Amino acid sequence: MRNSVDLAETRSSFRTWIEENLPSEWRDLSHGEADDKLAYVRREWGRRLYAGGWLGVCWPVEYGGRALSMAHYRVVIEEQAAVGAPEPINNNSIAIFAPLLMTHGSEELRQRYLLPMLMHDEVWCQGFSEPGAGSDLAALSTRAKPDTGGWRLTGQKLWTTYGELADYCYILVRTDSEAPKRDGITMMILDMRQPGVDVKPLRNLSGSAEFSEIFLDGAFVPDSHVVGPVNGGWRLAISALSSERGMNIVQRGLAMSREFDIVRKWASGENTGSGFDPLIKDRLVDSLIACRAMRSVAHRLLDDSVTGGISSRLASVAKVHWSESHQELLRLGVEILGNQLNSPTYTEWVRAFLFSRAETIYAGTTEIQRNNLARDMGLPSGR
Amino acid sequence: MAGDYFSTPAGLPEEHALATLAIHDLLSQVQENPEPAITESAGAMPEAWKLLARDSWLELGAGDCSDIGGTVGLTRLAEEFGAALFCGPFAMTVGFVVPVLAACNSSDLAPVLRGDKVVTAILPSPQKSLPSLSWDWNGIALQVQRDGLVQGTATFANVPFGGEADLFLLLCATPSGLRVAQVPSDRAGVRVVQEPSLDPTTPTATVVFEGLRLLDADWVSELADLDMLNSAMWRYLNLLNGEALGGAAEVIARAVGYVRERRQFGVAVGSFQAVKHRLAKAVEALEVARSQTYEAAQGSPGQDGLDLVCARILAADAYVSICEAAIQVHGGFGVSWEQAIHFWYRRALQARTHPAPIAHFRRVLHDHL
Repeated sequence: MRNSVDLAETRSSFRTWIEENLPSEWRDLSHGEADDKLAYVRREWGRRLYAGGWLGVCWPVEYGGRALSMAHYRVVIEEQAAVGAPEPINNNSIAIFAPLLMTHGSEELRQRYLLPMLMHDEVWCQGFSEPGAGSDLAALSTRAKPDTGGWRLTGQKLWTTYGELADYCYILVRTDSEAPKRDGITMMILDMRQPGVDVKPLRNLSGSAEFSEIFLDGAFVPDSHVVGPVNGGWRLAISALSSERGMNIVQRGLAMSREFDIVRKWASGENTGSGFDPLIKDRLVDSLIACRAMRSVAHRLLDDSVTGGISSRLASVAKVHWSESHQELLRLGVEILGNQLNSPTYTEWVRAFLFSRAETIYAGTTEIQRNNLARDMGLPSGR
Repeated sequence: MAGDYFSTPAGLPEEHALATLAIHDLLSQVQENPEPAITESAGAMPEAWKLLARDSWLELGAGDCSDIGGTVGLTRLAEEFGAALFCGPFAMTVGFVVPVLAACNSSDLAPVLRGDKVVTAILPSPQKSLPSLSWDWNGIALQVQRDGLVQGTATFANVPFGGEADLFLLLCATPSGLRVAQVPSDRAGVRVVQEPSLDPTTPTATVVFEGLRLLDADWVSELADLDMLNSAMWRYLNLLNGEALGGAAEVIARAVGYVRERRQFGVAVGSFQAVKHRLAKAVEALEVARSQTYEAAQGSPGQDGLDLVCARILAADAYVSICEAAIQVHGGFGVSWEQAIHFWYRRALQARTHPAPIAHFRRVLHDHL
């Protein structure tokens, strides 16, 4: 029953549940972790969260949720951040695609896909970016041509997280080449396990390969698997991305405080007894302020989500602030490590630092966020 | 004008929205065009002050303000005063003076609330102690003998509205302990030297106490309740942060308005990415500082000093950097007197020094590490 569960009780019981279900070695995992381990942990954590009733808590009961309030969702996110829990592997699709499916998908699609997504029986990926369509996403050229009972897809997608593991992909494709570029795009559900879908891992600068390329050569999508109107996919994608951008940042933003504590400990010279370097200490103060501010931004996002909705302005600000200050924090850690940089103890941190360069790029680059902010200010378009 | 860049914290009661509207209207009345008022009056605005008192806004400092959402609601109201560059000690009065006088049951509270008397306070620097932020009260206490005579000379620079104040609220170290006192500015032994304030909307003075003898009637409290004083400082600092956010929001609104109209190379200069990204960064700084300010204001004086110190630093830094961005995107007009952004810039720079320089707040964080 909606909102009938007391928030304090929810927090307390979730906390207890976490202690019983989140192994210590699953905490504070970073992108520096080996691919297989991280993917396994993220999927397994998603499964456990669902089984415990802690995933999709705001979702309607008929799709596997508990129909609780955003205030309960806030508790769930805060508690996971507080213990350095991993993000479920379907986090992106649950946050971005599932709400679209609930509002624009057919009942058949909702019944078929939402529950397995939440249960983590099926893994999802996102097929948006292409080699020629990065920040200019609307320039995407993967074609969908009508075929008997559906569509045949041809083209290439890029930067697809966990593409190799995915069972399904929510994908943007061009269904009308004549229309203005934003008016010829459609969103579909693509079965990744079929001929005509070829996934290749893409090694990133840190050496890990959670990204992949998807090559499509006549892959089939039935008509029933179009989400929203044909040629109406752009608006769906944009609205979902902007409204959910903020929420995806919340857990990462809250988790920064734990990373800060690690860096502070290194900088304190506790191991060597050397104490703080005064110059490093001043940079630590900057990071402390940035982390504290990120926590406050996250709280404000949660507050706004509870009371009516996150503005696109705050969502963009959150993305930029988190990604930039997180990069700076990880880099500070690397500098403090000094000549211990190559010690195996710190390999994961260094890889996470390298991977953090992606954070100001994925989910809308910093430059795109600033364009969004400028549009929000009513500034004229231009170059 | 700055409305587009204001934001209201989630969960404030409806009364808060009404209060904001009323304050906004009142400030528009008295300062429809702030520039001439600022330039010509170059000081406190007694008429506006009377209006605030008449409409009971100074009484906000006497309670917990729960009807307008507590300190968060009050902080949001302070943004209106910051945006308008209001020339009067609103934050000082509502944030510090009234709470202290009310807590001490002072007979001087009534004339302050009526707007008949203006009081300013000698305030301390933050002490290096967290989680609860405390203040160096001993560092500002006048040394007072048993007979009421102040020992030596005590000089305090950069006292806001020191020249306009009828009374000074100050702390005294007496043989029995710290006590709060209130001294008329025209008393023998009190010398007030008006300073050439960088910010004409917050005139400051150097106040010198030399040969001053305190009378029985000057004592506001028996032994000072330091928790109460720390709480008042906590509220005051939140209001200062609110004023900074409001000023920054107004400056962004002015800059955006300008770059949308100003044309070069045949197009509005706001269409150039170099310009729009500079302003986007200004909005980032504003919203990050605002998030931290609301977080701090939702906290409590005894526990959340870290949030308040971070908010103070972020709000003060954002205000200055936003003014600098605004001046830059105005091009040559940005450095003209007429363009007026410099009034907010002056406020932003001066506000960084009060009640203590921002470096003192950073030092608290250094110590916390």
